[in-house]
Amino acid sequence: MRRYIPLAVALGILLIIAAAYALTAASRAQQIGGVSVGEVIVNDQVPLRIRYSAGGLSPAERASTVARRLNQFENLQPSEITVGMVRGQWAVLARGDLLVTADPAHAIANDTTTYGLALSWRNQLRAAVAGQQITPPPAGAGPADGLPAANVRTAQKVVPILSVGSGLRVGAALVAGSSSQVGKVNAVAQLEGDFRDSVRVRALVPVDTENVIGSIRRVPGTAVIAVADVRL
Amino acid sequence: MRSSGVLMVVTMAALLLFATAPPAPAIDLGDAIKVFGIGYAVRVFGSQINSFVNTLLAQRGVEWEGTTKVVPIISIGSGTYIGAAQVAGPPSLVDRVRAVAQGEIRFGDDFRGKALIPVSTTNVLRGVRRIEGVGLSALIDFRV
Repeated sequence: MRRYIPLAVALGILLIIAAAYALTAASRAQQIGGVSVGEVIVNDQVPLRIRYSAGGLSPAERASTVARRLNQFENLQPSEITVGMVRGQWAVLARGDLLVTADPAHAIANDTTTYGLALSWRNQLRAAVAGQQITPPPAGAGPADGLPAANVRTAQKVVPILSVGSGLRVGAALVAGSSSQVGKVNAVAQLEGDFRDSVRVRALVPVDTENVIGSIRRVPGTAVIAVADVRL
Repeated sequence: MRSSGVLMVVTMAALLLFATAPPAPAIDLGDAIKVFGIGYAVRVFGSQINSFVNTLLAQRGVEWEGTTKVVPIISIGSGTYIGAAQVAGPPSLVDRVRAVAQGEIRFGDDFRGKALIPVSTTNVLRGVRRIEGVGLSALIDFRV
């Protein structure tokens, strides 16, 4: 029995060392300006604040996934957090494995490209893993990075509803979302369809242009919250 | 004894009638709306209408990234079912939406319209509390 004591002591020391080097990341769901966001917490700092859904996951679920992936690595060094392509999209990687995808919605909100967003997120994560104080992003950057909660603002705006195809104004809509995104909305495109002759469908898409006759592009992070019809 | 025999004959005849009766035709959406109302139509045909809307959006490349769902629109004033709407957002939030409450809204001097509020209950007469993070994607009108 005695001969096992040194082995147990060595094992205990190893466990203590491993615990000291293990990265502890966590996540939490927050309400900021009435919008649900997910925050990734590393060394008591928030290197990532996720505001938009992707891949069928809510912001909180995405943050939780990032934290879980970070915790899988023992003794993760800042230099091991890199940027790379995963399934055709820029992403932040840890030892070559996916941490988080730099999605277009966050890139637009930060006024950058998906590559630029991936670099920004990588730098934030590197600093947090190294235990350095995270510097706030420059003014004008979107809410995806470590911005204080108070800086995330929401807005509302009235825009015309335009019928796709004809371009006719068929009403007005009140759209809501983050200030930076709502500012980009110029109209709501209305797509119409009939389901089994008994149901009329009017899909409402906030778009960045009043020219809806050609192709249309959704402004992510915004939604219609009220409508007013034109009486004929 | 005689009455039990009659009962047996009636039962057998009823069973024979049901066994040989042709299968009932699939319920028509228009009839369902007229007979059972919008709430029933949304419950039965909601997922099909939801897929239809998603296909409509996907054809133009503007589909939502999150989950979508079709729920009834209920008037805040009267509590009556007046239509349906597709709501969209993160799965955990969309799951909680049971209806869209509709009321009048004034926004500044220019805008006077219908507010559409995703809520977690179909009893909107007791009060309305918005489920934040869920947006309105489509309006659905039923022809009666």
